[in-house]
Amino acid sequence: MDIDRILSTQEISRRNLLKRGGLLAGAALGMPAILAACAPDAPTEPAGNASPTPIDTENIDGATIKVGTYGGFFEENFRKMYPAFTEEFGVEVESVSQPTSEVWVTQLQQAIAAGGAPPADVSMLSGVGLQRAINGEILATYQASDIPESVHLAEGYIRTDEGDSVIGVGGLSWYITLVSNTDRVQESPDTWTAFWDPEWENELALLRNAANSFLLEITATCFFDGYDILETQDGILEVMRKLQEVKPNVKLWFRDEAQAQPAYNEGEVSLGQFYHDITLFAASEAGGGAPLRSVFPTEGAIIDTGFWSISKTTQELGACVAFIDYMCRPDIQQELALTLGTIPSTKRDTMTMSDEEYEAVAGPGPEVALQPKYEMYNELEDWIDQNWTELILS
Amino acid sequence: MSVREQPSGRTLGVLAFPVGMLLVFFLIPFGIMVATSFYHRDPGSFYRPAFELANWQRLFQPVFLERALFSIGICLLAGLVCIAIAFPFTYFLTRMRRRPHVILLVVVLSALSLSEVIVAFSWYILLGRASGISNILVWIGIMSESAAYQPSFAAVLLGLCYIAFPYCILTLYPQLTRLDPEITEAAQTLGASPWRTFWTVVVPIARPIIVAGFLLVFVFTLGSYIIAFFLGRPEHWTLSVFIADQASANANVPFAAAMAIFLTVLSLVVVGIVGLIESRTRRVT
Repeated sequence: MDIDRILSTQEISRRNLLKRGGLLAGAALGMPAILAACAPDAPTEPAGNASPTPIDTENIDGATIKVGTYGGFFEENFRKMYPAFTEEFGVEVESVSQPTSEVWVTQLQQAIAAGGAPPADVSMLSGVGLQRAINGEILATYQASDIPESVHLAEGYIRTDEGDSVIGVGGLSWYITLVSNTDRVQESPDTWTAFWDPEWENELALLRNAANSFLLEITATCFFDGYDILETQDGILEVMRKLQEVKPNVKLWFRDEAQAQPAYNEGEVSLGQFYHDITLFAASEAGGGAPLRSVFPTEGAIIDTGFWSISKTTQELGACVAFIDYMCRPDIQQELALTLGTIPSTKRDTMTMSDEEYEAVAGPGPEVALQPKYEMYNELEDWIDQNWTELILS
Repeated sequence: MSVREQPSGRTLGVLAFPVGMLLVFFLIPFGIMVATSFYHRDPGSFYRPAFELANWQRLFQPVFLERALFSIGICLLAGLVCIAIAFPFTYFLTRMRRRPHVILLVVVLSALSLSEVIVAFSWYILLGRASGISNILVWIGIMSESAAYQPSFAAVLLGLCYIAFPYCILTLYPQLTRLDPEITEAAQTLGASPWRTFWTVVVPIARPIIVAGFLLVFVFTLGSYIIAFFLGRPEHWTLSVFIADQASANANVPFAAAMAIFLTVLSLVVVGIVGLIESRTRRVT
């Protein structure tokens, strides 16, 4: 059966269906309409809008907002930063522990579609998660002039919608690098191509989804001279077939860091891809001194960004915008980098951290990192997922 | 044949609550799921009400059919393994003196307090090479180097059997407790050995409950996804793993709904077939 045809937006008309008859099909046909009729009213219009009307960020004293960040190490450290914001703006921040962006966005959408309060007013979404949220129209928009501190941000950290309204603001970036257990690996490889080396049979840990592992980008860079091959579906399939060769080496296809971290720490796996900031923390004294190291591959580490985004049904848009503006300040960005080990989204020259400190978190620099090909996942999501399931996860 | 009485108003009143709960918390959500399986998926986004068969067509891709058959196969196997261990265990448990009987029962049933995540993670560690059981074998000199027994098919099967084992015992226990000891005593008086008594008297009497226990394990393990995900390679993942992935990570709820309904129908078919075989066999014997 032709998968392209199946994954195309095939719809069966009501007339054709009735012509074919069948009580069951008829009943099923009626259900969506019944449910649609019973569904709550369509979500309210975005709290923000494309008009240049400024958002009121002055009269927010006494407001309470819920801010979601990735659960665990991230959320624990972000939580410590909120009291300073509360003291300055009088806005209480309730910290919410959120799962990976892809999962969180689904929960946000369901809450917003049901007409209820969003589980978080402000969330941190990865590039792929943000795009899904934009497509699903669940985010509030505002103007760049509402967040004056954003002038400090480096290029590419403000995401806008088609009407040039701001819809996501880069809070920080993180790397996915080559991580190894130092007890099991005396000298770490410094290239992604090590994943294909039979030496690592049954020793690797890789992220399991195409859209959060970015293994297609890595494979294209290592074996096909860059991303050009990912421009066509045939090319993507060719890249996946090359990636199939790593399967005998993979012991763990992990969903998130909570699953991978113990495997790396204990040496259940020797080598793989993982987050640079979490590895730095886990290997530090404060993090327990796990036998881990992170190496920047010669081809470039993968860089992904967490974008602050506002749920469109929030009742506290002004406070949310003020919060995001606050997070754009260079001093806050510097504190985040030094605490979390993430890459600041503000320009290097706006911060006072030493070159050594900057290099510890930013490595050779974001400019030489491999950028995820977000548009590919946006346009071909289900097609990639189907082929990924068939070729990689089977 | 006894004539059934017309249910009284009080009986209907008592029945109203469970029936209402079943309607509100099972049938209506199931109906919503059926409808959702026909919704339109917007790749890169979410989904919207419509009527189309694309999700069902995608379901019949070989990769998902293969996963469905694998899921049924491993869960049937888990049912067989559980019954093979739980039935003699429960039988001899009911024949024990009261004190060890109760203690053993409490120990086995205490496993019910563990969530599937805890069970999966515990077996992950026990079967791992870093701090797993192979380290004990290395320590006593049987092995020279620790080894990992996960991810593997056997690890997934072990995990599934572990979570289902107490439920299997709970199904078998009431009837085996009530088994009249005079029946087995009569068999032994007539010269049958304890082993022969067990096979030719106890097992045939308890066959309906054995089938019930087997089916319970099958249906129960079919819904498990954390065990397979933690302890297996992708080729050992059950369809439930892919359902969870589609519903959460991919936001493709319509496709997840289609897969879930498909799995439900398959499990009902298997339950029906086993029930049919059991009733026919009983009629013949």
